[in-house]
Amino acid sequence: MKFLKWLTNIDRRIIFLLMIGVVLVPMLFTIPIPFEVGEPVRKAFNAIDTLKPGSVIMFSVDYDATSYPECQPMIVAITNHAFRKDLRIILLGHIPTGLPLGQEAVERGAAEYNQNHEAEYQQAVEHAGEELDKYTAGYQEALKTAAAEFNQEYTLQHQETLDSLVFHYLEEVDSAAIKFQKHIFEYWKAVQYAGEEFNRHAAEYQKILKGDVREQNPGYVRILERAAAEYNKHITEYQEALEHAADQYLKRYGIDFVNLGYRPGMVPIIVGMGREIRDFYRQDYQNINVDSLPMMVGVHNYDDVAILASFAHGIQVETWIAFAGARFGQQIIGGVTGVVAPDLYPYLQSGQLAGFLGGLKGASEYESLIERKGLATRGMPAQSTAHILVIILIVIGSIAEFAMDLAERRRRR
Amino acid sequence: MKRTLPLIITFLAGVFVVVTFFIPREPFGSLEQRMLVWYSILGGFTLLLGIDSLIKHHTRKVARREKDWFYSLVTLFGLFGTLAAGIVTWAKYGTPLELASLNEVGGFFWVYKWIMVPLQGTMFALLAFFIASAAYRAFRARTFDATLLLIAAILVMIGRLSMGVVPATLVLAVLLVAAGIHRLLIRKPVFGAVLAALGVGLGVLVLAFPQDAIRLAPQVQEWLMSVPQTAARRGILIGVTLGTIAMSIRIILGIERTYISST
Repeated sequence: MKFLKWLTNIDRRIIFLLMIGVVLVPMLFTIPIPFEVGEPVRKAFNAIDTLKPGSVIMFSVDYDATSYPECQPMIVAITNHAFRKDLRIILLGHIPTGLPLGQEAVERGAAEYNQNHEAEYQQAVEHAGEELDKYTAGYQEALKTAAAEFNQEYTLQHQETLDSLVFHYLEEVDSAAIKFQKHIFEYWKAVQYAGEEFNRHAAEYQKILKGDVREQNPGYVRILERAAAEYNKHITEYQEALEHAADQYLKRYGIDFVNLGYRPGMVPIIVGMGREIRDFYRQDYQNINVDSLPMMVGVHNYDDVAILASFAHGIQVETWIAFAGARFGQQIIGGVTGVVAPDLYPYLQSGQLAGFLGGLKGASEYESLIERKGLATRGMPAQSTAHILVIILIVIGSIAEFAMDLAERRRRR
Repeated sequence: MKRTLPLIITFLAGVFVVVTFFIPREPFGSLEQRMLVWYSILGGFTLLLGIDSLIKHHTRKVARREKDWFYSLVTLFGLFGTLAAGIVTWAKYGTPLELASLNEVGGFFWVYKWIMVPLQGTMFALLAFFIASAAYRAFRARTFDATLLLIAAILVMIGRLSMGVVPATLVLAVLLVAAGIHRLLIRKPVFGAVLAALGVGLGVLVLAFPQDAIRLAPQVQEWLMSVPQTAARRGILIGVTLGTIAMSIRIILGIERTYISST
């Protein structure tokens, strides 16, 4: 009887210790588990998977650190999927303390994508460089032949000055690389500026050189001009090849994703963005003018956004559905905590929600669909053991109570 | 006049917003957009009011050495410390949000990443412990309704497991058998027999077809969520929405006035 009484009222500290144990132990091991993917997650996956490359997907980060374990794996997984599909991401949020978590997820997603494609990118850059080298050799050869033919003493000076300009250009590129390690978009801007400066100096130099020589030997200048024109064409081709390789193999801030930051007032912003995003977000989170970001060119309202993904730990998904979905026909998917997930089923059935990820399980199902094991897959065993503990505790409590009840009835009789 | 003027403003603003919402044609469309921008700007000022109120409240508490004044001091230290970190980062990088992620962080984001995020995470993580304890104490199959709720809750939990579906289902079967025996012994033979039969049947089926049990568990959970749960949720949703509309009309018409007075 005493034991039964104890079973109905186990000290909470014992329960806490058991909970620590069942959560900690599975975290120490990697347990591979196959997942049955539910309908809401599959629908969300399909909604993203069927988008055309280049489409814009808007992430609304409506959670903070309290829901990190559930919502962060979702945004990481969907970012990964979006980058694989060459979608462009706009990040914004209605919880200021949560938005950096979204920024971190997207930046890490971009870094992961860049790392996975580093070899291809390097190969493309090297190939472009080799192509240019072929023409550089031809250009230098043309210069030498012309100098030999016309016996020009300026050739050496020409070459040395050009070399120093190239050296300066490379120095600028290196310093930009060091300064903007994490910000590829700024790095590219610096490289382009250095390139423009180089071209300007080179053109000025050639003008002076040609001015001196032209009078003495017009034939030599003609050869120089032809060689330079040919060479410039190949430099342009080289730069285009670099840009193309970056487009193909790199995800860069301002080009593939932007963070518009936080603005107060959720409903007016959601409604107002149906008309013009810039009315509320003129600058991004770093105060860079939105119009100067290549990705935002032509993106003005929901007509230009293929899907909105709201990652939320509250009613934010429903607010998006009510104002962006119902009024502007915006396609929406949700990524919500397990507690919020039941609220979204009516919207899924009515077609107002294209799909959703509910809790850690939803995130792990999405990870299995994109075949990338992440935080959710690693966290699921711990969540499962915690659930089993809760079930066992409930059953023990109930059975002990049945026994106590029967004993009490017998005693009364 | 003190009460009438706010009521008139509320009425006009309410009607105006409703009209502009349903008539997108010019000039209403632009006017609505303008009002939405104003609303957003006003939202920014409410943050300032909040900060002002927070500082006043805690400064007073510290100055008067009221109960738990030390925690107020910690709050003020946190507020101004974060502000200082933000200003320093701004001076250094041109924006407090520079180097927001990955491995390098400015001072402001150091505070965010290493103080705020762990604190928030820790607070929420405590929930697991309290839920386990509360579920154990409160979730007892005392009555018919409680038993139904308990079975549904456990089935949903089992459906969300990634491992241990078979043992968890067996535990549920044991509960059903125990509940059945209990009901039989307290002379509720029909309910008791049904529960016991369900428990035995479930246990036998799970032991006989463990792979099918693992496959079916998420489907059962999905059905529970998308049919009975959704039906109830939809009813609540319709009720809440009707209530919201009624309340909005009451506020616009000045019938509901609690927002302009605490009395």
